[in-house]
Amino acid sequence: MARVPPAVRLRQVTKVYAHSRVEVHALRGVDLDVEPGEMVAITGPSGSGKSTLLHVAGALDLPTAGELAVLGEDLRALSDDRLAAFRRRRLGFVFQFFNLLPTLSACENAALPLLLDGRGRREALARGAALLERVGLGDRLDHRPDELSGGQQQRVALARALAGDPALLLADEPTGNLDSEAGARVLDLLDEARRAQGLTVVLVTHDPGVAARADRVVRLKDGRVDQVTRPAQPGDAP
Amino acid sequence: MRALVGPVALRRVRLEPGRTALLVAGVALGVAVFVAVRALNQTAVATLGKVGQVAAGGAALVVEGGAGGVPLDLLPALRAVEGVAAAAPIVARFAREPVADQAGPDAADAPRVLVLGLDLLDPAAREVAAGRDVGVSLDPAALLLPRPALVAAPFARRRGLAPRQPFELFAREGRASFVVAGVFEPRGPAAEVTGGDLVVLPLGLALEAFGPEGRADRVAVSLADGADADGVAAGLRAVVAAAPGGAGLRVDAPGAGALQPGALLGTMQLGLTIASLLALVVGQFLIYNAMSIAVVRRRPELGVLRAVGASRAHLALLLLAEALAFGAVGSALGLGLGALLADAALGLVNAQVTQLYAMLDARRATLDASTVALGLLAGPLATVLASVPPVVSALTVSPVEAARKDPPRGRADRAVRALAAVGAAALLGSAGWYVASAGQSIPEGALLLVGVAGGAALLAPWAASRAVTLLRPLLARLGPTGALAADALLVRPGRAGVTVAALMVALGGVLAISGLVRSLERAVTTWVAQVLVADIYCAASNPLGSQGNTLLDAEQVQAALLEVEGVASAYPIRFVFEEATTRARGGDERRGQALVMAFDLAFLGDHSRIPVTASVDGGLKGAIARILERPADRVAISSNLARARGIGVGDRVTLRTPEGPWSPEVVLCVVDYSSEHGCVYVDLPEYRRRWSDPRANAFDLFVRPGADPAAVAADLRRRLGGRYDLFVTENAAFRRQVLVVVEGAFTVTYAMQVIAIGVALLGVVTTLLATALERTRELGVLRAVGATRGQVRRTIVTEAALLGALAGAFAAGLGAAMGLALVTRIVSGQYGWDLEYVYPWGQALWGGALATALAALAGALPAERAARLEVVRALEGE
Ligand SMILES: Nc1ncnc2c1ncn2[C@@H]1O[C@H](COP(=O)(O)OP(=O)(O)O)[C@@H](O)[C@H]1O
Ligand SMILES: [Mg+2]
Repeated sequence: MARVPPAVRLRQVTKVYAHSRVEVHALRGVDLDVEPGEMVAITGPSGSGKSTLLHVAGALDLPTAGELAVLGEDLRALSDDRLAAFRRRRLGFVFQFFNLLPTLSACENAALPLLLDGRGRREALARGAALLERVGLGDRLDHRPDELSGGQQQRVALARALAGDPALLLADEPTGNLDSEAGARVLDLLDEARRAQGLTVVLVTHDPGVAARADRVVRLKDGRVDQVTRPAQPGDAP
Repeated sequence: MRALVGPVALRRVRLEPGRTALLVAGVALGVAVFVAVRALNQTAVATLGKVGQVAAGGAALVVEGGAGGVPLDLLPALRAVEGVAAAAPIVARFAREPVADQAGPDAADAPRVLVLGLDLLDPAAREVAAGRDVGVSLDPAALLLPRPALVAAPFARRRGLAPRQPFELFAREGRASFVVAGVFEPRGPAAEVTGGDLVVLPLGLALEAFGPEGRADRVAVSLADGADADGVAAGLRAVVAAAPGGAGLRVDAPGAGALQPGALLGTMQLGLTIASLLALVVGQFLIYNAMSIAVVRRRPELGVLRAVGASRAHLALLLLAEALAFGAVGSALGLGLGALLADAALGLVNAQVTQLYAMLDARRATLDASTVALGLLAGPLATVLASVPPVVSALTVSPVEAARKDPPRGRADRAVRALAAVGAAALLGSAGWYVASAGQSIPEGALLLVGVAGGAALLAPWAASRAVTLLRPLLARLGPTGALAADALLVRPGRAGVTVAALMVALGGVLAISGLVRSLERAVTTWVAQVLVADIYCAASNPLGSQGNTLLDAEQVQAALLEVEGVASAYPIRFVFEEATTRARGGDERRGQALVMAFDLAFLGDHSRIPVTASVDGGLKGAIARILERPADRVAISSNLARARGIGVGDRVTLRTPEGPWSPEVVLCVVDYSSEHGCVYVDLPEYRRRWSDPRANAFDLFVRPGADPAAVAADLRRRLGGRYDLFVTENAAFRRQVLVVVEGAFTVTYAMQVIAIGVALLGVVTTLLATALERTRELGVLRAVGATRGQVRRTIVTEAALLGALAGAFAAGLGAAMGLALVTRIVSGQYGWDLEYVYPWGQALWGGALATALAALAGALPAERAARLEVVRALEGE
């Protein structure tokens, strides 16, 4: 049986920031495979390179060295426009601070990747509305972000991440700015989407409770993989 | 506290060089237009004034006789007055030099020379006139040469002239030859007037060459030691009043008494005033915009400073010090730029003034001390003033609130609405004033225009945000970039509105002037067809009859013209500005210049269809017959003079003549666009008698039946062009040139307003750079969820184009309102022209399209910067 290629494959990936006089080695040779459908949680102390890893895997930033393949694509070979299209169509992002566009309605925000992709406005907004319905915000379509609570905003962000029917969802501390109840609601919705769509998820978190929902927990330290653990799954034998 | 200015305020300059450069450039351009306009105006006025002062530097008193001059016969009596040390007659004329190809294209631009006629043989007179002003030192023996001329060194150098060499100038009988009798270094006003192109002739020779003989332009009088100027002036006045032909003369200190040259430059000054007002308004907007952006960007920093104990006064000082520094740097640059600009535009001003008002050939634009001072003050003042509102708004909030990145949205909305209410009130007030008044003086008119432009500017932010709100669904249909562009403008209605307002005012000013020009053109086109009926026009030194013409001996040149095959008749025309005093029915006495037009008035009745607005017997021919019956007591006037002065048929107009005041009765009013100061038509023989002036500016020619005007004109050019410096123009070409003059009267204004538009476009760049910076995080999100660089770029460019399109659309309305006020109230009130307002559709459409395109172009730089953002960093904020 042919092995399915991993959704994310990093080999000796390094990332050096050299904007200022001091060079910052954010990643120092990371090896990581994420299997399709898997949910991986990245943890580690602040400044250990979690966000950098996510950005690199999410085609927002390119590694300084190393091999990188996401959903079978060698990101380093793609032009900037191709990368943008890749993010639009294959990836979804959820950020700690929601990052909704303040002037757009919830529905427009959710439909944004489709609008950017040049889909018809009506079609895009219909899909946005359907997604908002799915995350329980069917009655908030025309609200602007500042009229929504944090948890609601993050659910809009989740809807936006799912709009392009992505294969890979990347989330940087998606519950970091939410109370536990709202956070749990977002994570439940995420799980639901995973199950429904066979989504692969890479999620950065500080919260052991959140990490416990993952198939695997990768702990970073000083830009290196420090430890990989498998949380006890509900189905595991005691 | 001072220790903070460096790190907090000025370090920003290094951190944000682009914004600093834009702000300084905006200040510099605004100041440059202001300075250039003022310098041009002053140079024109001062140079005209200097022609009047030339060679009178040593005089305590001047006897002058207006256009007619001072009879030389009076000199002995003047010299006999007690306390008079010397009385020096002076003649000052401009003459053109022959060029190699007199019919060629360069002929119109041939240099002009100031010719001074002085009494070189009278040592006392020479002392007064020549001593410290002209700088002539003289070897009397040189005057024994035939037709001797003392030439200024710059002129001699340019022409390669050495003593005893001959040279030619055009004079009243065509080419006249002179011999260099000496070379001198010019000084004083004479040197400044033509930049050293100066020739001094013995008085008799000057009068023989340029005429009229027996009359000097003025007589400079110096006082004996200990004599009292007032006493001597009284003595001179008594002599003058008693002498035959002395009644028209005045005795005054140099420069006093006569009408100021500035009063002559009517529409030119109007145009320049409008241009500089608009430049100031537009510049002020740009500065306000840049400073408020600076303050907003610094809110968190201000919050921190407040939190650690800085007082509001500290921070206000800090911010205003920065504004002051930018203003000072911008002002200094603007001063230099303004000087360059003024020099570049000087040729246009020379041509315009020479065409319409008086011979002007200024070679350098000069900035006087007051212009330099005002220019240096304008920048800092404008920046500080413009900074006050944003600084106050930033400092009246609590430290906690200040630390938030954005000012609360509601306050901006409320401010925009409040300003709109004030703007609407100003517009309503202006409209009311417009309806209530029939005509307005220049200061009133300026106030009306400021009311309209200012009201519209205050209303613009609100109107812009309403318009964008309405347009958003449409833009959203074009794609997410359209919606986001609209949103970016809506988030900061004030900032976008200020940018729109500035561009609108700049463009509206252009459209207002265009409307005036179109209205004048339409009126003049109709009029020209009715009035310009001769087959051929001839004038010396300039294709049109103008104040810059070399005056020709009317009889001699008329005879020469009639000798040419095919010429049936030739009518000489003489026109000259002279002081005219009128008394309106209500008793309002007005003194000012009017253009005295002298020609065979029978011509007007026989050939033209000039529109009549009032006549003693209802018609043109009848009224002209009445004038010709008693030309010594009747004249016609132009309807604009009648209207501006509030007089009509049956009233009298008092003209200053060498013989004293002459008050003929007005029997006819006709439409005339020759001068905004109005015209008085005098039958030619009457003019010659009263002014003792046998010269002509131009000739109207008719060809014999069957003769081809083009062939006759070609023949005239060939035979007389080089001899008299004569420009020969056929009817159709002449009509076209009249329209060119109408348009040309506002070229400088247009040029200055184009700069104002440039300033406004800089405002577009500033605004977009700022909004893009503030939206860094949003732009990062856009990119993260898959927007391409092109889409980001398009968002910003759409935003810019939207600003331009709104400004263009609003300017179409503002331009109409300002143009209407200009044409139907200011020009009509001040100059008496009853014009029908013509809206400049073409310019409005072009202007709107161009504003949109240019604004989009101005968005290119901010768009590129936004597109180049690194996604990850943008997501983190800044
Ligand atoms: N744009 C950047 N420029 C320079 N250094 C950066 C940049 N982004 C992150 N870093 C540095 O890289 C290291 C890893 O950062 P990050 O991936 O954000 O850590 P984490 O998300 O685990 O807190 C840190 O030392 C951080 O300071
Ligand atoms: Mg992080």
